[in-house]
Amino acid sequence: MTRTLSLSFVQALDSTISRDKTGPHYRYHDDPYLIPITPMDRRVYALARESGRKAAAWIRDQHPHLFLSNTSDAPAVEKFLPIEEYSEESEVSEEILQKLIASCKVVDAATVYRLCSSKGIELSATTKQSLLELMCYYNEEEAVAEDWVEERSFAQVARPGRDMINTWKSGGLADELFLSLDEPSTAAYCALIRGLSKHNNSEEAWSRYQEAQTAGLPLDTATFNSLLLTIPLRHDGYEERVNILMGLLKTMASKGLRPNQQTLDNSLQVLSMTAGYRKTKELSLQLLQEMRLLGIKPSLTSYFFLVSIHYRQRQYLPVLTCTVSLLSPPTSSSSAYTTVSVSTFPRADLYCKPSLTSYFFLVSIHYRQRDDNGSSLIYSVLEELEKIEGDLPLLDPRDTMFFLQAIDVCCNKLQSLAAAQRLHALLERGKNQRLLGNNSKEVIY
Amino acid sequence: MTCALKLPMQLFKLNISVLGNQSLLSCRLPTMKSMDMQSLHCCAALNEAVTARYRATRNRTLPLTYEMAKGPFRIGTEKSWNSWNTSNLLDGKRRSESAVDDIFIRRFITGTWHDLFVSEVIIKRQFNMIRIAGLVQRKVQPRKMYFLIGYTEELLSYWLKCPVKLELQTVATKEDAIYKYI
Repeated sequence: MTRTLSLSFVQALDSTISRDKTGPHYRYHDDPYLIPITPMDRRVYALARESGRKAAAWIRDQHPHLFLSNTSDAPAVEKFLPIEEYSEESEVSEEILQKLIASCKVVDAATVYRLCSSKGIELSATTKQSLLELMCYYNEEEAVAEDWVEERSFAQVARPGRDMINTWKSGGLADELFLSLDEPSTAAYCALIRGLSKHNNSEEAWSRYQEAQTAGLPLDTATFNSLLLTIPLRHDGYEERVNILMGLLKTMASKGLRPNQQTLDNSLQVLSMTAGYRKTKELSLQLLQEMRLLGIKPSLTSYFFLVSIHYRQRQYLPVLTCTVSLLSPPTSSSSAYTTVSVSTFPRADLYCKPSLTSYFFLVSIHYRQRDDNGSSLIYSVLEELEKIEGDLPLLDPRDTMFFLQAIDVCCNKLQSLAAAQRLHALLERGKNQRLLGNNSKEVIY
Repeated sequence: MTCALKLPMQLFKLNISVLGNQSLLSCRLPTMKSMDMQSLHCCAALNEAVTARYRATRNRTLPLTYEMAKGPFRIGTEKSWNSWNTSNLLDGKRRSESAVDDIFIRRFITGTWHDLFVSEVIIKRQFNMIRIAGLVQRKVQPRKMYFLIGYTEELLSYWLKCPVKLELQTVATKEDAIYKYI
């Protein structure tokens, strides 16, 4: 007879315990011989344990008939139950397919779908739509299982947008499903375009986008956001890319779609990848100001990209005095950018919580010069972040890049110990440690 | 057919015939073994308990761990059990299955961790979790140990269908676990 404690009680207890900085990580066995000392040891031990687990999983996959008996009287743990394989003889139905889609088993879902179609079982439109979405998201590959946490944790730091290789499986199940629909609905187009963008197939993404436009189908904000990310893939020049970016944002506005945090982050990512273009920095600031007017505050990801844009080369540039006013609320002192910026979006009363991604981009755009007079961007960014009460929110996978970029700026570009210490104090506060994300990022930091 | 007779200094044998033709009791002095007869032997010397006791060597070289050194009559006072579960309490479930699973776990651990465990394998069951504890000697590198830990935990979880956790403690050498030599 156990009573489950209520969540608030557990959270209250949790708040009394702070992170134990003296002990090793929980993933290591608690024994003096088995506690890692060097960073190499930390990596090796964690990955060795994971590889042991993988070996066991491999044995179980090879000999499933040995692991069938279950004498445990406890409620079944799904993970340990025998794995179900779907083959010609197995019974398939729409429910099984829906269950597989819900648990994101991509390969099994594909197999079951083919079995269904070969056996002539009718599938409803919603099932087909969810299957299409699953295929688009995963591109028909099984994601690296969530079990292998260490592998994912120790993977090399991958900057967003670096590996832009087209990995889309053309002619695969997603395309097949799309073509099988008699009248592709808005949702289907959205799913397909987002999938194509995610897997870096820019030509097809844009052709589908044109199709949707001519058919007059209303696409949603997220779809536009994902299209933004395909802009750097095109082989046009920098100026062209920026024009396309602006064009896309204007189209969004004309359709009456409100931008969200993602829009800002993705646009800044595009700008950070076209950093060779002279006007990128001003554009990034303009974009930031516009979004501020709409109530979208910059996030850590935005700051990451801003920092990476502005700290490309060591060039002397005049001090950007506007930056300080830029980061303050729009009702305060006039900034040159408020008047100059092209209003692509009608003013809308939106409130989005500040996101670290925006700060990330902002900082990366602005830190090109070595600036000692204290009014540089990084200090403004730090001020803004310190003002946020409580823990910094983690809204985007790219938020984790911010601290890495910022510390790089403080150490290498600015060479300012004070800034670095402020940044580190920010990191130590509350639960912000988790914003370092990956283990390898932690090491680099 | 048990015989509770205790006559010291005298060998007393009961020969019980399988075929049932001969008389039930017959005393004989010298033994005459026949293949078709079962024998029950009782005497003071023979009645002494012999389980879990080790024969002392002449030059006191047999190493005993604490568990081995203390006899089974000390279980509950100076010695404790190796398997902890609630299956033997009132309304306890899965008595036999737990026992058989424990046998399997012990064999598996002994076989996987080659000559590494220097103590008994302690198995504790809490809710649906199985915690396996023991002393391990530092014969192999830590990364190999981590491989074994991950492998054991995962494979036993798949086998027993419940989460298995290893709680090991390493000792420098085998001698660290030796209690006495007899």
